[in-house]
Amino acid sequence: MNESEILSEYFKQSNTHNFFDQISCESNNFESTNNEASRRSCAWIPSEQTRKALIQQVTNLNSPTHSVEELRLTKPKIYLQTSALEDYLAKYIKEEDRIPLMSIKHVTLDDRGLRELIQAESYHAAIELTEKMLSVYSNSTSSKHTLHSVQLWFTRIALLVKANFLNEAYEECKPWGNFDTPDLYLQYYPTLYEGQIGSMVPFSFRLLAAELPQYMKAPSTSTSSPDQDPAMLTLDRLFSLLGVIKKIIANLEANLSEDGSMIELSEQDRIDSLALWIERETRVKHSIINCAINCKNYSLACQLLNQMMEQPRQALSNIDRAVINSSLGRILLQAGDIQNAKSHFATAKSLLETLPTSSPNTHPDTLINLKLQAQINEGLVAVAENNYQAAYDIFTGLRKSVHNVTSLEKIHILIVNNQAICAFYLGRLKESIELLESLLQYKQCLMSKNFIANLRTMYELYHVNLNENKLNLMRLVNENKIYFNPSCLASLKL
Amino acid sequence: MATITDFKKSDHLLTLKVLKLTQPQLAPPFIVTCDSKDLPGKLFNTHVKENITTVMDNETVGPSQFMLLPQSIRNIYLGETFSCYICVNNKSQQVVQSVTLKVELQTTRLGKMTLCVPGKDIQPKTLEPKDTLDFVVQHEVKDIDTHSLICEVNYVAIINGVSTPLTLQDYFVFNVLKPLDLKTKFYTAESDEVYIEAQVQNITSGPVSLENVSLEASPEFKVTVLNSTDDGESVFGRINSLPQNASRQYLYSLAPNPVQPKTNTASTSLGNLNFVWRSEMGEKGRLRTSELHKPVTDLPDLRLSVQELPNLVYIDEPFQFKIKLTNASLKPMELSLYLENLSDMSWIGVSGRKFGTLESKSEIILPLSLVPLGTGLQTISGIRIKDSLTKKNVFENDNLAQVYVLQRQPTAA
Repeated sequence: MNESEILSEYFKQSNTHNFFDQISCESNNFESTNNEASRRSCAWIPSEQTRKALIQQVTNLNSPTHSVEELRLTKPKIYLQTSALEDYLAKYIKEEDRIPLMSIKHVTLDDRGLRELIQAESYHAAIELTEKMLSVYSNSTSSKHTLHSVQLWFTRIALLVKANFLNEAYEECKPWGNFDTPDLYLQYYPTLYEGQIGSMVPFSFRLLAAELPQYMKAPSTSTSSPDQDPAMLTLDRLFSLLGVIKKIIANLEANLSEDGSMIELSEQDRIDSLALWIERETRVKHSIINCAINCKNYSLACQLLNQMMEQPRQALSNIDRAVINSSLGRILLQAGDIQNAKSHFATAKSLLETLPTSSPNTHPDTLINLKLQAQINEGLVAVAENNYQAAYDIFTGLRKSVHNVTSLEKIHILIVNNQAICAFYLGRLKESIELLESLLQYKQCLMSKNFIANLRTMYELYHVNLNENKLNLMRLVNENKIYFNPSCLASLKL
Repeated sequence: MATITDFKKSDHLLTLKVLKLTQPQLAPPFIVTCDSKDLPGKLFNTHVKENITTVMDNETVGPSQFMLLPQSIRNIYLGETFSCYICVNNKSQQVVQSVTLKVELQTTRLGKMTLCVPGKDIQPKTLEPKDTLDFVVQHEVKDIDTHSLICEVNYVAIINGVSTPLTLQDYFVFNVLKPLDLKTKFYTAESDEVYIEAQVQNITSGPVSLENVSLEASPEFKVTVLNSTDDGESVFGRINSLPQNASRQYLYSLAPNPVQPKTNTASTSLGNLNFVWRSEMGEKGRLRTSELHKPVTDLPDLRLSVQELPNLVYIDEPFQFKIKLTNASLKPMELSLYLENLSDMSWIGVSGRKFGTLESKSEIILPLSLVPLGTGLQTISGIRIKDSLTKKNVFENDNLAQVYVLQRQPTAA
C-alpha cells in the first residue's frame, strides 16, 4: 500500500462531512457512462436557450443544418505551448548535477501515463502530455467534444493551476465560458451517446473555472469598476453554481429528476443523488468562503459558515459543529475580532469534550487530531494578542506531545513552523531558522510555497551566505526528485 | 590605516538588515479537488490532504493554522505599533568586539526618540563570524508624518593589525497614515441633554474590527451609551468587522451631572472619544480624540421644558401637561404667559396671565390644558412668554412637543 492509499483509507474512516467522503465511482472509462452513478453526476440544468437548442437538435435529427446555433460552440485553445515551459532548475543547477524527473519518455501516452506523472508530481511533463493527447482531438476534422476530451481539458487546466501558471489557466478557461453551449451536452451527440442526457463537463471543472478569476491581478484602479473586480467575478460565478445546485436539490426533493424532467428515479437513486448534490453544495459554499477570505470579506465568510451551522441540510454531529466553530474562530481572528474568535474556539473545545474518547463512528485519530487543532487555535489567539512568548510556549509544549507520532506528521510540521515564527517575532532568528531547517527532511515542506516563503524571509534577514542558503534549498529539492513548483521559486526571489 | 570617513559600507565587517514586522498571516490553502471518477482519480484530493497548509478533516475550508510571515509591506497607521526586526550579522571571518546598537526614530514634530539605548536595552556583544545581534523594535506611533528610523552600529575590528572603532549607520523612512475618519454631530435638547453622533469611517486599506469605542465624558456629564439593543447585543451585528471605506454611527446621550456645579461658559467640554481597533490577525491600534466641545450656542435666559405630557390623547377630550420654566440669567424676571391659537388644538385658559417674579436660578412649574380638535400627530406650539422688566419676549419657540390624537372607539351603550 502506498502512502496515498493509506491516507485515503484513513480519510474514509473520518466521520465528518467533507468533500472527500463523496460517493466514488471507480469507472474511468468515459465512453461507457450508461449507469446511474454517472447519470446523476453528469446532471445539469442548461440555460433556456441551450435547452431549446438541444430539443431542436433531437427533433431535427434528419436535417443536419442548424444555422442559428452554429455560432454557439465551445472552441478551446491551447495557450501555453510546451516550448514555453522552460525548466527553471536549469538556470541555477548545472545540467550534469540535475537528477532527471519523470518525463513523458517514462510513461505510456494515455490516461494511465498521465496519472503516473501526476502521482510523481511531475507537472511540466504532465502538462506536456495533455497537449499531446489533446492534439489528437484537434487534428480530427470534426471539432467535437467527447467525455474524454473534456476530462483532458479539465485535467490540463487543473495542472496549470497547480503548477502556478495561473494566467495561462485563466486564458485557456476563457473559451469555455460558463459551459452552457449545446455541444457540451450529451444530447448533442445522439449517435455517440445514445439516449443519454446531461452535461459532459465534470463538476470539478465548473468549480475550478469559477474559482480562477480571484487569483488574477485586479485591473488598475483608475479603470476598474466593481464588476471588473476579479474576486467579485469569482463570487458571481460561484453563487450562480450554487443557484443551479439548489435548484437540482429542490427538484430531487420534489420527486423530479435533477434537471426537473419527469424521469423516474428509484428511491435509492434519489437518496444517492441528493447526497451527491448536497455534498457538491457544501463544496461550492466552501469555495465561496475561501474566496470571501481571500478578498477580506470576512462578514460574508462568517455568514455562510453560520448558515451552514444553523440551517444544515443534514443533522450535524458535535464533531461537525466543532469543526465549523474552529473555522469561524480563525476567520474572526484574521478579521481582528479576537473576542468573538475566542468564544467560537471555546464552543469548539467544549463540543469536543462532550465526545466519548472511543466511538464506533469516529476514528480515534480524528478526535486526537481535532483536540490538537483546538490547542493550536489557542496558540493563534496568543499570536493575535501579540503575546508571542505565550504562543511559543504553547507550540513548544504541543511539539513534545506529537513528537515521533508518524500519523501526525502533518500536524508536527505545522506546529514546528508556528513555533519557528513565534521565535522569530521574539527576536531569535537563528533558532527560528534552525527549526525550519529541521523540517527540510519532509518532502511536503519543499513543495509548499508558504513554507519556502517563511524560510526565505528569514534567510534574507540572516544575510550571511544568503544565496548559498537559497541554492542549497534548490539542490535539496533537486535531490529529492521533487518537481520545483514555480510559485516556490517565486517565493525564493533568487 | 583606514579612517572612518573613507570606509565604504561594503567594506564593513558587519551587515545591518531591517525587516518591518506586521502580524503574521494564516496561509491560504490552495485547493484543487476532483471527483474520483474524473481523469486524475484520487490524486488531486490526495495532494490537498497532504498539503501542509490544509486543515486535517476540514481540508476544503480556509484559513489554515499554518502561520506565514508577512509577504508584502503593509501600511502603518497612526495609533498602531510600529515594529521591526533589526539584525546585525558578522559576515567577516574575524571576531568583532564591542558591538553596540542604537536605534532612534525621528519626526519633524516630535524630534528624536531613542528606541534602543546601547548598554541598556542591549549589552555590548562580541560577534563570532556568522553570529548575529538581534533586536525587535516596538513603538506606538503618535504622529502623522514621515518617520525616519536611524540605526547605528558601533564596533571594534582589527584592521591592518590595529584595533579600530567603526560605525555603521543606516536609516529607513516610512509614512504614517490616518486610519479612521471621524465626523461628529451634536444635538442639544431643551432639557440640557446633549446627543453625540460619531460617524467613524475606516480609511485603512482593509477591514478593521472596532474592538472598543467609548466616550469618556468630562465630570460634568453622565453618559448613556446607545449602541446596543435592550438585550445587550451590539446594533452593528454579531460580526465585528468594518470593511474598507465603510462607516458606522455611534450614538451617546450626555445628561448634566447634578452633583457637579454648572459652569457658565458658553462652550463646555463634553469629553473624549476613544477607539481601539484591530486589523489583520489582531494588529492593534488605538486613538483618542482631542476634547469634544459642545457647539457654541447662545443659551436662552429662560428655558422651558415640557413635562408629564401624555403620548396618546383622544379628540375633543381635554388633557393636561406641565411646563417647567427656569430662569438661567443672573437677574430676576417678571413673567407673563401668552397663548396663541393653534389650528388643530385649542388652549383652555387665559392668555396674558401674569405669574409674578422668577428669581435668578430658580424655576416654576405651570399646568396647561389643551383640547385636540384634529386627529393624527399634533405639535404643541404657540407659547409666548414676556418679561415686563426688560419688555422683551423671552420665549417664542414653537415645536415644543408632539402628541398623537386618536378617535375614541364608540362603546356599545
